[in-house]
Order: sequence, then C-alpha cells, then structure tokens
Amino acid sequence: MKTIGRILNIQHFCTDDGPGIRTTVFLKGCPLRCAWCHNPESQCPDKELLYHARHCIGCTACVSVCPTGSHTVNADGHTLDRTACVSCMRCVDACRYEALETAGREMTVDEVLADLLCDRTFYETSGGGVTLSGGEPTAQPNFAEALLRACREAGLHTAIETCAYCSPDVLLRLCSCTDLFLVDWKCENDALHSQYTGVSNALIRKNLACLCEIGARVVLRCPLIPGINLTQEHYDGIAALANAYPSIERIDLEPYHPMGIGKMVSLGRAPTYANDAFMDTTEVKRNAAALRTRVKIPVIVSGR
Amino acid sequence: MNEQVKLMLSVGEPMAAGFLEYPDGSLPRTYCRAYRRYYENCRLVYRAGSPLFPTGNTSVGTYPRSRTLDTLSQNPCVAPHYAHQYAVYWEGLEHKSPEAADVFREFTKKFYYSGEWHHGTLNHKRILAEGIDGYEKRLLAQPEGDFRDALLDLIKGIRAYHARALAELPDMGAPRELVDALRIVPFSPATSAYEAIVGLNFMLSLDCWDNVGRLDSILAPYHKGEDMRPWLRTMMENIEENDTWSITLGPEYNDLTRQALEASVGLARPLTQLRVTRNMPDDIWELAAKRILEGGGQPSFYNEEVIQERFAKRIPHMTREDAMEFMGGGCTETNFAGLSYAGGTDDNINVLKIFEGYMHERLPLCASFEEFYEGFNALLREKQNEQMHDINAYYNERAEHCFAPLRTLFTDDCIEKGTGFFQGGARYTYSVHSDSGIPNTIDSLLAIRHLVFEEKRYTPERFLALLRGEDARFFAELRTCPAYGRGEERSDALAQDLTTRFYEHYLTGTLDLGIGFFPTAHQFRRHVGLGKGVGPTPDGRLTDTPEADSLAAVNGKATKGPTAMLASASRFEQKDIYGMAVTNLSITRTYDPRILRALIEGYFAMGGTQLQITAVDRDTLLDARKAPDAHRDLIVRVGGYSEYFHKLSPEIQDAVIARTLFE
Ligand code: SF4
Ligand code: SF4
Repeated sequence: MKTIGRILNIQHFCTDDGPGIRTTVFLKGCPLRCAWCHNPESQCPDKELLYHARHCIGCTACVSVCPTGSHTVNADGHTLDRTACVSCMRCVDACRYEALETAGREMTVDEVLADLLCDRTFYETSGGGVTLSGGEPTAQPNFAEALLRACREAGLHTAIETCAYCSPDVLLRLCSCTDLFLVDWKCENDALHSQYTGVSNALIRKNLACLCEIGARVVLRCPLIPGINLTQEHYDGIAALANAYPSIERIDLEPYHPMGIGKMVSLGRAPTYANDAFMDTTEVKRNAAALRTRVKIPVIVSGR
Repeated sequence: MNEQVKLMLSVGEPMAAGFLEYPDGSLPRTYCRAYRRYYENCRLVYRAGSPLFPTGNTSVGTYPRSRTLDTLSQNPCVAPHYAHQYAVYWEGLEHKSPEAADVFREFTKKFYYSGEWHHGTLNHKRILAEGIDGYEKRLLAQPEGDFRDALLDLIKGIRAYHARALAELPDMGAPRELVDALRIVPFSPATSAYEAIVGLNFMLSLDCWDNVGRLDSILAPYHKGEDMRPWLRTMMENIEENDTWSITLGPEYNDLTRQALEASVGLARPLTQLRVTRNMPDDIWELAAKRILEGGGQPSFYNEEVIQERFAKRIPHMTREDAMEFMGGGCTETNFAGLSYAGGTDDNINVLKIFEGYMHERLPLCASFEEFYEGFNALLREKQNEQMHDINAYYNERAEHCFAPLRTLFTDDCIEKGTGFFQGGARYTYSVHSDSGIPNTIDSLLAIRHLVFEEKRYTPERFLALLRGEDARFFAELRTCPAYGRGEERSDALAQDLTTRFYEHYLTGTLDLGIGFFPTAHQFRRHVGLGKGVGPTPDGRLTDTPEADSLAAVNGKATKGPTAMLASASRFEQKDIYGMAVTNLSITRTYDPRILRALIEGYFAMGGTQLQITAVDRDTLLDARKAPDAHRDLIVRVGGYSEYFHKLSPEIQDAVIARTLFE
C-alpha cells in the first residue's frame, strides 16, 4: 500500500507498549505540547534537523554543503544557527559522524510493514505485536488506519498509544483495526492541563468515554510529573475514570524521566520542563498501592 | 623388572613405569598397562561423610606420598589428563629425577604426544546397565590378542582401584550405604537410584570428569521418585572442583531434569545444556528462565528439532536412538554419549587474520567489490583445504601413535570392532574444529563495499592508509557503516553468502578415519587471544583487540536490539555448522521471564541452533573488574562456556564488559 506517513522512528523489541515483544512505530506530529515531553522531536509534523554535539569532530563537511551558511566551525568548535535553515538536509548527508540527523522521514505503509514483519516470529512467541505511538498517531489518521489494517491483515496484534485529542470519528475508524488502546490521562485539573499541554482535557475525556462505550479495550497511561500532576485531585480523577468504565482494564503509572531534555538540546530548543532528575519511585509506589485499594483493575508502575 | 621401570618406581612414578613395562609392546598393551599402574597407585580422594566416592579434586596430587622423595611427592608427573590422554608435567619430573626425565623423554619420542585434547564421554548408560563385569564378559567373547588382553589388563587396574577404595573407605569416614553401594557398582549393574549415581560419579572420575552426557536420561531407569538433589549437587561440585565440563538435559524431560536444574544453582560448572523441544513443560521453562535471570549463564539452550534435522542430513546412517544421545562435549562440541570420537579443538582458521593480509595486498588491485569478494572466498577455500588436510594427517598420526584405554573400553563399538578409540573404533568419528573472526570479517567487507566501492569516499590506498594509522575520524566513520547484527536484509545477505560457502566447503573434505569435518562457531575464550596479532580492521576494531565472540555481532554494532541481533544470527548460515553454532546474548537481569522465553522460542523458530544467555548488570561487571574479591561468585558466559568472572584474564574481562548488553 502506498499511503505515506511521516515516521520518526521504528523501534524493535519494546516490552512496555502493550503485551509481549512489540515493535513501536513512532509517528511524527502531535497536537499537544506537553512541557515534559519525552520525545520532543516527534511534536512537529515536519522534518527537523537534530545536532548531537558529542559526535561532532569539527570536520567542516556541513559548512561546505549548507546553502544558507547555517553551520560555522571555528576555534570554539561547531555552531549551528537555525534561523536561516531551510531543512534541505544536505548537511546530514555530508556528515559522516552521525552528528547530524534528520528527525522524520516519509515511508509508505508497505515499507513500514516490511520492517515490522522482521520480528513476526517474536510477536508470535510472546503474544506481542505492533504499537503505533508518536507524536500522535491520530494526527495522521489515514496513514494510521491503513497501517493498522495492513497489520491486521498480516495477522499482527495491534495497539495504539494516543493522547486521544482528535475528532471522535477518527477514533471510531481506528477502533475497527485496533486491538488495544493505550490512552494517556495527563492531568485531571483542566486549567493545569491547558497550561502544560496547550489544550483542554475536555475532548480527551469525551473521546475516552466514547471509546469505552463502544467496548474498546483500554489501558490508561498516566505520566507522573513532579510539580504538575502529583496531586490528590489527579489520583482521584484516575480512580474515577477507572471505576466509571469497565472497558479500562489497567492503569499504568509512568514516573517522569528526563530523557527528553537532551533531545530538546539536539533540536536547539530550550527545555520547557527543566527537571533533569529521575523520579524517586518510593512515593509512586505508595500512591500506586493507595490507588489499588480504590479500583478493581491492576495498577502498574512502568519501567520498574 | 627392567632397570627403567625400577627407576620410575623409585621416583614415585608408577604410571611412567607402566609405560616402560613392555619395551616392544603394542600401543594398547603399553597404554593399558600404564593406566593399570596408575589406578593401582593413585591416591583415594574422599571427604569424610560424602555420599559419593571420590569427592574433591582428583586431577592433581593423586599418588600417595612417595617414600623416596618429599618434594613434589604428591604431584604426579605422568598422569591422565582427560582419561583418553596422558600428560607429562616435565618440570616436576625433572625435579624428581633428571635421569628419569631423560628416560621418559626418550620413551615419548615413540609416541605422538599433543597438547590438544578433545572432549567426549563414556557410555555411562550402558556401564550402569551392564556393569564393568558385563564389559569384561563381552571382551572375553572377542578373539584373543593384544587388543583384548590390553583392555582386560585395564579392567584389572580399575578393579584394584575399586578394591582399595572398598578397603579404605570405612576408615576414611564413608557412610555404610556408600560402601554397600560400591560393592555393587560399577562392576555389577546398578539396582537403585543411589547406586546409579555412586557408579556414575565413580566412572566419571576415571574419565577425569570430562562430561556426563544426558544426566536425566542416564539415571531415569533407577529413579523411583527420590530427592536426588544432594547427591547430584555433590557430583556437580566434583565437576566444578576439577574444572571440567558439562551435563545435558532433555529432551525426554522428567523429574530429574528439574532436580538437576535446581541442584546446580550457583555453580559455574557443570555447564548445563538444555535440549529444547516445542513440548518442553512450562515448569521447566520457568526453572530455566529463573536460573538465567539469577545470573551465571546456565543453562544454555539447544534447538532439538533443528539439531536432529542436521544429524539426519550429515550422518544418514545414524539411528534415531543414537541421535538422541547428543551432548555438547567440553563447552559444546557435538558428541554422542559413549558413541563418538569428535575432536574439539582440532584447529582454528582465524578468518579475520586471513582477511587482513588479503585486504592489504589485494584491495588496491581490485576494480570491483565482486572481484575483491570472490578473490577472498577463493583464498578461504585454499586455507580450508589446507586445514582439512592437516587435521586428517593429525588424526592419522594420532591413530598410529596414541591409544585411549578408557575411551576404547567404554565407547561403542570399539570392543566389537577390536579397534581403538583413536583408531576409528567409535561408532561415529569426525573432527570438530572452530573458526574465528567471521562477524568481524563480514563487517569489514560491508565497510569496504560501502565506503570504497559504492560511495567511493576513499580510494583503496587512502582507505588502507587511514586504517593502518587508526585515524580517529576514520574509525568514527567506520562505525557508522552497515553491519551484521541489525537484521538488515542487505548486510545479512552478505553474511549469509559468505558463511554458506564457507561452511558448505567443509562437506567436501575427507577424514580417513571417519565421517568428516564438523565446524563450530564458538571460540571457547580464544576470540580474545586471536585478536592479538591482528591489526586494525574495517569493522572498526583496533589493533590487537578481541574478535567477536562466536556468532555475536561485533561489539557495539547490534544497535537494533536483541530481536534484530537474533534475526541476523539466524541468517548466519547455521545449517552446516554441525559442530555447534553458538550465539551469546547478554541481557539485563530485569527481563520478564516470559519475554526471555519468547526470545529463545522465537530464535529457535527462525532456525537458530543454540543460545547462551548471560543476565548481568554492567555496573556489576565494572565493579567486579575493580574489586574481583567482592564478586567471587559472579559467573558469566563467554565463548561456549561459563566461568567465574574473577578467573578470567583482564583482557577477557574487558571483552565481556564491552559486549552489547540488551536492556
Ligand atoms: S559535518 Fe558533522 S562532524 Fe563535521 S563539523 Fe559538521 S556536524 Fe561536525
Ligand atoms: S538542513 Fe540544509 S539549510 Fe539547514 S543547516 Fe543543514 S544544510 Fe544548512
């Protein structure tokens, strides 16, 4: 199938994005701007230039090919001025040291599927499959649907990790080809939600209800971000959702990790949530235990 | 008694004396008499209260204190190493008596003596069922002659050893049951589970503990539900203390499979080889996964279906029953318990070293990658032909000058054929050898194809100059080239082509004494030493640094995770690697056991043969490198075997640390 999508990355052997051994396809482009985003290079739908300073050896190959004079190498090292950059990516081709990288490439459904099928045997032995993540898969609805259908036809288990900020129609379309929805619930308090993600949570709440009402299998994924959502109100909200919808089968609590910060630097952007510490999990475990007393479904602390 | 014999006896060297008793005797006569004298005189090694005899390290110091010499008197200078081969510790012999050393040196000229050994095992199943008495009866039914008489002489030696043990064990603090059991085994057939393990341990010690074979199957006929773990543990500790090798479990799983997996917790040896079928019970999977995640690299997993298919193809006349006796000798060299003479470390082609020389000479002269690649293949074929010729000559030479008393007596069908083990008496004779540096060579070819012939970034001369200079920028670039181990179609296709042609070629060789050549892809721990003397190579490897371990990707290259690594390994042409295709995988200890199982099952479903997994955390390894004493129980998998980390050389420790760790 020739439908084209904008792909950030295809990652094999993921064991946290649904059951079994999975390959996760990260799509590029997201309607939200979560301050703490782990994958900031997935937010913008267009190709972006990543610069990894630690790999640069100052060879000046990029300087020679750049049509806009954006690269400079002098006694102080290499600098990249992105203001004039036109994203032609010639410098990426010229750099032999993996210091420059293009975030985002266009791929057809068939191309992505071919890569996914490499691990088919492992999906089968582990009860795993394919997960679409992002960015936000629903932001490329035609591609997401086509890819999920192709996976279905190939007999693969399908999951989608979504912020659910999209038209309910899109979700309904995806329902017919998705075995499992991993839906983010980022913040119960709508004012804080708007402040830290750029959008209200009202549509998300509505979509969640809609998914659950038609009986889709849902796992609620809750990023825990110090200083933003570690509140009683938020935990209450999670418990209320879980108790309201029998279709929600599990809660994943995901403690904050600072992996996104380095990526922000590579993108040449200032971190929007400058917290470089891994979260202490003692409190998370306590909260998880408390939550377990209030809901009937498993509460899992991810990555532990 | 001739003067030379007297001299050897006077310095406390009965085995050496035995060799000299028949100055003009045949090979079997000479060797069997030497072994008889050894058994008549060796020390009885036992710890009071132990349920098994012997217990402890029987490999050294096994003669009683000599009356004539104090120094080194407990150190035998001529003694069996593995029991098919005697070893001379010249330093000790010189020290005991220069004159005796001269005499024995003269004597050894008659014999081919080689430091190379091989692995195998006695037919323990048959020994327990027939008893040595049964073997004696079969021998007596054979035509008279040197061969028969020599083996009868050997049995006299074993009888003498056994009688001494029976007489002395009560005073050495042996439990009554042990002495009672030894009245039955190993001369009469075993009648209970305890007798079976007492007999097995006894015979294993005679064979210098080399390998057990299929432990759960050997003991099964005698097992009536007893908890055998304490006895199994004692036997396994013996194997560990003697620094020897393996046990094999499955594929007919039973309660003893479980007991053996439990009894070996925390031991580096014996190497535990688990033969995996599609029907392996869940609880055995769980036990095995638990053992792996505890660290220590045990057990290793064997794909039963694939292995059996291969034997059927390579040894068409092999019966199903014989094929069932598959076991890995030593690290993991293909053997059939009590039925095979397999070699093991017969030779090694250092493929990367050959490539290095070829590249420097031929790269500037080749107009295309195809020309370069085909030329290299042709050179490899030449080297393989030389190698097979040399191994064949070596086997013939060993047949002419060496005799393996115990292996001859207890390996089918030596008695019936009237032919020694080294002379082709075993039912299956073949040569197992290994070849190293293949993953590095694949990546080197890929880098050259990419940088010189396709992207044309460098002329061959410039490429080689930068390589020789270990130019840092150039090496950074090399490391971004396509590589084996990422499941990439085009790279893996080259790996497959190179290895298919390489391993298939071993089917063309002739081994006068047997079936032919069984290559392995495993390097024991030699991949580290073999990297020494090899200059910088285009896979990004610096001068003198280790080669890749077995089928594993070059360090740092398997960037797409374990599934991609295993997909690549399954493309590495394994079907003609009859000796054993070893894949090492390092993972963190946080794996979900179900995911671990799925990885193994997935690899096997793709045709992978064998998988050995070390679960460890890099911080632990780094810490153990700095403070070995704080981590004396840390066991890792390297090459084809498991070893305590602190026992490895610093270079090998570094190679283990540098290995890609999949999280
Ligand atoms: S081409 Fe790459 S390595 Fe060279 S100066 Fe530019 S960014 Fe640095
Ligand atoms: S992407 Fe193009 S314009 Fe931008 S820095 Fe690189 S070469 Fe220059």
